Amino acid sequence: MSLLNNLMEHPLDEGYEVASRAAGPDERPPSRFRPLPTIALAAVGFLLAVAAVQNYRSAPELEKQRDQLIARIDTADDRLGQLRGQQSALAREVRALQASGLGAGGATALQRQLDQLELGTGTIDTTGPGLKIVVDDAKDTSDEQGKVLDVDLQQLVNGLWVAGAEAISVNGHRLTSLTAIRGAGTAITVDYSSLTRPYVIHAIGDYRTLPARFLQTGGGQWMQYLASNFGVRMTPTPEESLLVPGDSSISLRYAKGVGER
Amino acid sequence: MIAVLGLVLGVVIGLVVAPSVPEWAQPYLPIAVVAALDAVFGGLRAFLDGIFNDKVFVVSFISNVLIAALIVYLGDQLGVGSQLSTGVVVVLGIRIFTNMAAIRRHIFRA
Repeated sequence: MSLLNNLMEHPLDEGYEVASRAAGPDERPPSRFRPLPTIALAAVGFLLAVAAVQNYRSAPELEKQRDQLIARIDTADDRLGQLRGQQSALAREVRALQASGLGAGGATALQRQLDQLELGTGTIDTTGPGLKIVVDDAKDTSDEQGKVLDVDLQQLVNGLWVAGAEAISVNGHRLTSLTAIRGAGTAITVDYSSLTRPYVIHAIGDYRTLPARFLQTGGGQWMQYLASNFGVRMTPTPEESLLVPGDSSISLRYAKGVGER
Repeated sequence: MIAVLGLVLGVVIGLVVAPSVPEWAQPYLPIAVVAALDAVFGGLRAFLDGIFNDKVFVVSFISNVLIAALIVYLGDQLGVGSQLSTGVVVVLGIRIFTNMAAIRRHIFRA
């Protein structure tokens, strides 16, 4: 504490006292124009102004960086969508060529088998009757518990599978055997794309039995519980015709059939 | 009086010229400003005490700014830059406050 006490008791530079003692008490310097302190004070003012200007400048700089980052994310997202679209178009072309090749060779049985497999694995667009469910966060956005989490979507989708759904998409992302639903930060990602609410789930199946059976499953009850306790919004509507887009990016690099070379 | 005009002139020049501070000097600028303020308030108090001395004022001003910047620079090199900055700000802050108290006593007699 002696250090602090010393600091409090002698806040003035000792040089002043020493200089005044050396000059003697009666020989105070007369009041006249002093260039040195003026210059020094000018330097102080300059420093103050520069520091203030610097501070003022760097604030919008941070904002600008943030905006730039957001813009970059947006362009990357756009590019991802574009590439996905391109890939789908190419896949369609491949399919058309395949069909013409197989058809010309008279291998219609092979073509039919291929169609069946593609339908099952979810690489092509699928249409049919089914259930459309719109899920959204609670209206009271301040309540953290009213937010839809990745687990909730997982439970919901699992419930739909149990209820007999044959093809499911979340916000246009087809769920295949390789699709993950997970949380990344505050967003839910499906197939590595971040989703924005509301979440629209399309499930193809028997639209007369699907809603009732869904509500009996664990996933259905989970969502019911969230809806009645935390205000999470869920509106299921049976539809006579739904489109579930395919995910043409599905490809296995390591997995091989047993006995296959 | 002329000295105060010098201060105003400095502020005006700083605002008009508004030089961009180089990247390496940015961490030291705030500390240098605090050190300069300490020298100014010390000088003001000495003036009111009647023991003001040009040479002491200018030397204390320059050495304060340089030493404050040097301490922060050393701290940065040693990895304790922010802690040392805090230390410098605390010490100079205490000095500024105590000097201000003395100045206040001089001016308002309270």
